[in-house]
Amino acid sequence: MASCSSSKSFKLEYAIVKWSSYSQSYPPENIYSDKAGDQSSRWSSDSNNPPQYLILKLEKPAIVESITFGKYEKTHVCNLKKFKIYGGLSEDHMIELLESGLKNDHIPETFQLRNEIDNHHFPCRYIKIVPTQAWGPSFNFSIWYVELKGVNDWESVKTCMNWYHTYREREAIRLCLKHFRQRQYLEAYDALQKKTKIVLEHPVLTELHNLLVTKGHYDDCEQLVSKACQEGLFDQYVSQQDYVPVWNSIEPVSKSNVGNECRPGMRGGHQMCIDIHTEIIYLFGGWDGNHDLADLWAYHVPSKNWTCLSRNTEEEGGPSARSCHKMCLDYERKQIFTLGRYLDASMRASENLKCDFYMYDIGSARWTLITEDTGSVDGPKLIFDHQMVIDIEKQNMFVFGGRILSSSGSDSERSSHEPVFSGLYYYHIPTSTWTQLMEDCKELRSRIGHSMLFHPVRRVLYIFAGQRSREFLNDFLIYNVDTGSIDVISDTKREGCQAGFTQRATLDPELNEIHVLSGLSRDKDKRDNVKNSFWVYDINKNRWSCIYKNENTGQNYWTKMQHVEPVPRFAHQLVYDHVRKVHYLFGGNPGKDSLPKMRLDDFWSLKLCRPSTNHLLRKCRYLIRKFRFKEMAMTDPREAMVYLQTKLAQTVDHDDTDEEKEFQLLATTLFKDTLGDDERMGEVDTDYDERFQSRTDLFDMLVNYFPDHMTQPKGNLVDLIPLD
Amino acid sequence: MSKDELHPAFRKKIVYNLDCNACGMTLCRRGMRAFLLSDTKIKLFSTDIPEFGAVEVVPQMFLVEKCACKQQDVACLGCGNVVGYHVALPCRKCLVSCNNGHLWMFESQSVSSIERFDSDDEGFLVWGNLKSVEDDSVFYIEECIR
Repeated sequence: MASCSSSKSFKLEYAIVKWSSYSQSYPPENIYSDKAGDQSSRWSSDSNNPPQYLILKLEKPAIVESITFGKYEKTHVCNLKKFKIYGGLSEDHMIELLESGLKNDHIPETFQLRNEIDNHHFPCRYIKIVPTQAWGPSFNFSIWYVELKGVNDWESVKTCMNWYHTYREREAIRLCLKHFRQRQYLEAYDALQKKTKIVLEHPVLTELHNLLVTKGHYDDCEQLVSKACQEGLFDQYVSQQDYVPVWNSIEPVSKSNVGNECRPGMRGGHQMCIDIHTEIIYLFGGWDGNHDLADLWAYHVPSKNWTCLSRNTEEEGGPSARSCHKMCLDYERKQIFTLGRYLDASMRASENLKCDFYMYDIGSARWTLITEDTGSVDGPKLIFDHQMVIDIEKQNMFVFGGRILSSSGSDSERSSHEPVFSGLYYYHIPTSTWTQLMEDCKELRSRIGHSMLFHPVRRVLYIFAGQRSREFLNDFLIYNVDTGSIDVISDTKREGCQAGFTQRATLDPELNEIHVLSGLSRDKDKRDNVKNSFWVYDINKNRWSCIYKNENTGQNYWTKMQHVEPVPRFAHQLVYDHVRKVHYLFGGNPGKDSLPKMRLDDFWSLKLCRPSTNHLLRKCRYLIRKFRFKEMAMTDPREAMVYLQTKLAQTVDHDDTDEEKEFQLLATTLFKDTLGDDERMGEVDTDYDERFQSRTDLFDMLVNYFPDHMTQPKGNLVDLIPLD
Repeated sequence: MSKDELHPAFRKKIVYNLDCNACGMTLCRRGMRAFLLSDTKIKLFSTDIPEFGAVEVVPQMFLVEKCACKQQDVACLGCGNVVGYHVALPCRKCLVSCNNGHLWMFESQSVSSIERFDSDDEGFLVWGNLKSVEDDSVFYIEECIR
């Protein structure tokens, strides 16, 4: 996504030109000044009946980048829980730039505004703020302060103004071309195209139009569509379809002699990592409900086999039994690193509070103690529930957050009762050096139970969710590992998954997606709204989508489902093979009050599926043959019947009940026409028009599957005609 | 609570009209000067019924420090500012103490007060002469305006 150079970005002056209403002491002009201490320094509508709005006119047209809302020093029921922002060059033609909401607190909030169409910036002269919901349901809407930022130097604006005008002109002509062709004003179509030299669509689609609509050569259309599919023209459409999650329970290959079954036992708080080159998943440690574990396992995906690499790593010079540690793997050098652990309160004597740091060399199957206590070599103190990621290319590891364990008798913990959180560190593997990048601070609030993912191409850390004491965080931050800069994507992940839940996340650097599996809340009071849900964040589009949600909470339901889909849980592990696009989930704590020591040992794979291009091609064939059949039925019902039974039947997806039913009903078309031959004579023209119309409809359906930049405009000229 | 049930100690107290200090909205026409049972230093106004459509409770309920009452903030519908609180669930301690039965409180710094006049008498209206909510003339809604 292109973005304006922020060096040119300034505060934009504006004036309020229109408003829906205001209460007597709270006129719209109050939003010019930011006075958090003055309850009266705000615009307040005098009703909450929609539509309520303010229209701001910028001093000069500008590329508007962000809007900041100032607030009152205390919470206030009139704060905007939901609002929309629109913008455009005139009051009558504005498009939606943002839909969001404010938190009910005193902290000003800034939102990025949409300022691009087709990767080009567009200018705005007017900005419309439309409140839709206040924090108190029956209260009026108030806005304390609004600041707009963006670029308004004429050089920059002129370029995009010119582009914008050209864009509008071109789109207008293309709409005309589409309209003329649909209505068969072919001379007008040719004349306009000749004069303007603007093309309506890619030549392939003009060819399709010619074969289908003009000539009715259906077989050739099918060929053209299959060629388009082979050439990957449907890929974009497929990539925009929602995923469907497909869970598969991975059962051990041999179920014989249960006593000797070779697979890891029940546990939560363990660690897993995957070597995407060898397709081996490593699992280490955890808590079985009574004890910490020190076993190390490897699962080979192709052969579906678990191998126990070590029953007790401590006996082999490796780490002691532990849980709530972190682990990461360098698949180039075949090394696994592990850091941190949870210690029971009774175990927190100061001599135990050392943060040991181990490396496991996969080739030689040997553990190395890198350091006995990273806390004494500028690294993190003993922590648990932190996050750790590896930058394989530059050989750095990043460790962020986690709660620092202190001795039960230590002054700091006893005096304040406040937990202490660990900041952001990096470890340079070749030189074995630790550096603290940030302490727990306002810009980067440390936490536990969060997610942190490293994007090896963009070279940034994505950090989100987690909790600090009772506070669940729902921000979403980007830390650039090369520059150290922090970008706030949002400080409320309102559109995304719920805050602070024990989510597990993975990143796909090829698809530029973040995947989040929500977990069961640790907070017993909040378990009522338990749900299994899976979210995908599209990094390029900055958009969350929930692809799956299961809100069932009943015990019976989940007992029935236990082999179909994993029960909600926390303290589980999720790893992702981004080459083969498969997730793996193991174990965790189902949070059963009646069985507090129960842990899980189930193992699942998860694939996110989209309809294949072949499926789409079949759909296209079905559509083409369906329309051809209808056309035949009008002229030669006998031939049409044969066609229905043979050619058309071949393309039906008999697993799709809707399509199956539609197919069965098609036969009735054959018996509808009761007109005699004489009566039909005068209807040739009508038939022709009907046929043209129906072929045009089919054409419009088929072009939907082609990339937007190849097709005629989506809209229709007639839809632009105002009705009043 | 009718005036006969009102504890004699309150019968001589004056009835006040209360307006929102911030936006001027009339919040209540049956206010009584009061102090908190749990902290008698805090001055406020109480009422048996706020003006219809003038205030709304803020949904979150909270426990207070000095007693076990459960309360909600009350905000003015005109400007949204918090002007007092509503005792949603009074505690046993407060119920058995000598009280005026009012569950709606206005902070004295958030409202401006003016005494109501007695239409039958010269001088200020007192709670002993105040009609019950059903009969209070300020609540009359004309059935038909002809």
